[in-house]
Amino acid sequence: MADDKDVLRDVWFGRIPSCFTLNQDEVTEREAEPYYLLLPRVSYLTLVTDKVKKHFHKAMRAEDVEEMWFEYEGTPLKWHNPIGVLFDLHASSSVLPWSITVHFKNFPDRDLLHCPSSSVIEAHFMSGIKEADALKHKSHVVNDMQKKDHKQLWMGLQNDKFDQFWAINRKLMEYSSEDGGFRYIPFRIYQTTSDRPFIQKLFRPTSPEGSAHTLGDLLKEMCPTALPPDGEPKRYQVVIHGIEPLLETPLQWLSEHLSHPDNFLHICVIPVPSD
Amino acid sequence: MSCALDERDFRRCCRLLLRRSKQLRDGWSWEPVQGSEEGYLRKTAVRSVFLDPEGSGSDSEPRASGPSGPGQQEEEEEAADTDRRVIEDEDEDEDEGVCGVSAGSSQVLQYEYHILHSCSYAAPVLYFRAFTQGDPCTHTHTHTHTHTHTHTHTHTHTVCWMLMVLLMVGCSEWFDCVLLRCKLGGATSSTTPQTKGGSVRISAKKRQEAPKILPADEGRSLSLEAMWSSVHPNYRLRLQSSPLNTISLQEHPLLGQPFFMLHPCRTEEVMRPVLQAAHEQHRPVNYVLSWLSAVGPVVGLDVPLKYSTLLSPAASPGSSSDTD
Repeated sequence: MADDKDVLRDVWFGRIPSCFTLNQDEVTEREAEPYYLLLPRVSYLTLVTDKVKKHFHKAMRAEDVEEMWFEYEGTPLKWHNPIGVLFDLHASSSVLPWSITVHFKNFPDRDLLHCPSSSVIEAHFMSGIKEADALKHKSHVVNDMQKKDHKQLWMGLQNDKFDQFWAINRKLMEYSSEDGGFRYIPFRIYQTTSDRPFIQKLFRPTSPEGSAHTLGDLLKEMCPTALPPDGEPKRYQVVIHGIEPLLETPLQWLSEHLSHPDNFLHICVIPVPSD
Repeated sequence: MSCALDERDFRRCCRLLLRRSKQLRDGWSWEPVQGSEEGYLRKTAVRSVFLDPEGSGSDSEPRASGPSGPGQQEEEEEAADTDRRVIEDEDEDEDEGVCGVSAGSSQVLQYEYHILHSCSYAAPVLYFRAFTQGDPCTHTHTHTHTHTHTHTHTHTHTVCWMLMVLLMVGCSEWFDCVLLRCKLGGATSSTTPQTKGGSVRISAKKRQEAPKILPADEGRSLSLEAMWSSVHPNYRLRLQSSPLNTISLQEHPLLGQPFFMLHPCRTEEVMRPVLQAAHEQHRPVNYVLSWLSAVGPVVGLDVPLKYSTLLSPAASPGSSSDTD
């Protein structure tokens, strides 16, 4: 059985092979070849695609270039969601490499947030960490940290440094033994079939009687349609980091080991692929 | 005494606010989520703002950069100064100290405000967005929101106002001075800097394109960049150095579209003295209303004083609050 710490590493180093192709309506001066990249599941599109931008800029005139944005099969990709979530939600049933279309014009600002610089990504990332700690520890742990600790979390993510990140993040994963877990579990459930971008509500890791809540308990409460009705074949997959954890898995354990760097459990509910 | 606002209390406060809003014809509505009990308050407002494509905030004369430290006396003076400056602005024909050189025009913007509940922070959160409308106005603009009411605020409102001035230095002036520029045509080049403390310049290319605001620009949304570029550098420095106490572009948690959001993590700090004072005086407090009266003006949202007269305990049994 894998050591729990190995799980943390597997999550952190998860990669998705991707192929970036320029939108055919973009005006180019020369032919723009597709660009291949291994994308970290736990990072954000705008943080890891500088090379993509440089590559396509070489084929275009400056005046034809505006803010870069990405789209998959007609759906603008929300950079503020972790890459792994975008893939699992939109493209998990398709053949690899993940084929992403790159745009430099007509930014869809009714759908996508602008991302003019990495400080915007940092602010968004830290905002997630703070919110997660508000749920887990009433913000005590994150507020007791020094600014340099916050910075270290961000730098760890930005530079893909597992040890640097977890040196600080482990504090956010602690809880006192009498509590038996975090105050509330930070989670978001995504479903493409819903208008709502995600489901996020208060949910405790243990029941009032003290028994551990499982992934199944969470779904039953928050997204019952995700669970198969009795006796019928399942219609949805519940995916975290590209895998389907057993519904019996304790939620506290999932929160400690399968959270993204922002300390949220991002859960995708997707229709079972019809082959 | 808890400063947390749970979902149930949030809805109760909203119901009270809504009732009063209907009486005052203030335009708030409740938008439910898919027939569930969940929902949010919504209001639209049309504001005529002066758009200054040429000048930037940095052309204006420097203002006091905000409170330098603790001390009630200092804070009160600061707040009073702010109020005074704000009133002075309204008396001038042009926003002289603020706009700088310009050959701008007035533009009508459609604002939309949402109040949601954050379960993570047990607090209300303000989201808003703005779009241009087709019709350009004449140069004599009108401030459709006023700050005169701050001087006649109840004690509670004044406390909120002062605290918000502390926490969001200059933000109120930023919106009051109506230096909102819409993002037109082209956008950020890859070299647009987002600096800490420096002025955020729209790329030179865009400035050349900027000048005319045509009816054809209907429906353009305000960009975060355009907002920051209208903030005086002194305030920008303060706001950008603590990005979580400020306004940022976020995905609306229910609608999934980009909205500006006032970050809620400091709400408890703002509300604590208000709730404390009310508790000691055995006065009921509508958490959402008090909070809105503090944060609303910062983003151009007026909360008429008449709202507060709803909550006298004698009036109706349903209005007593148990925010303790």
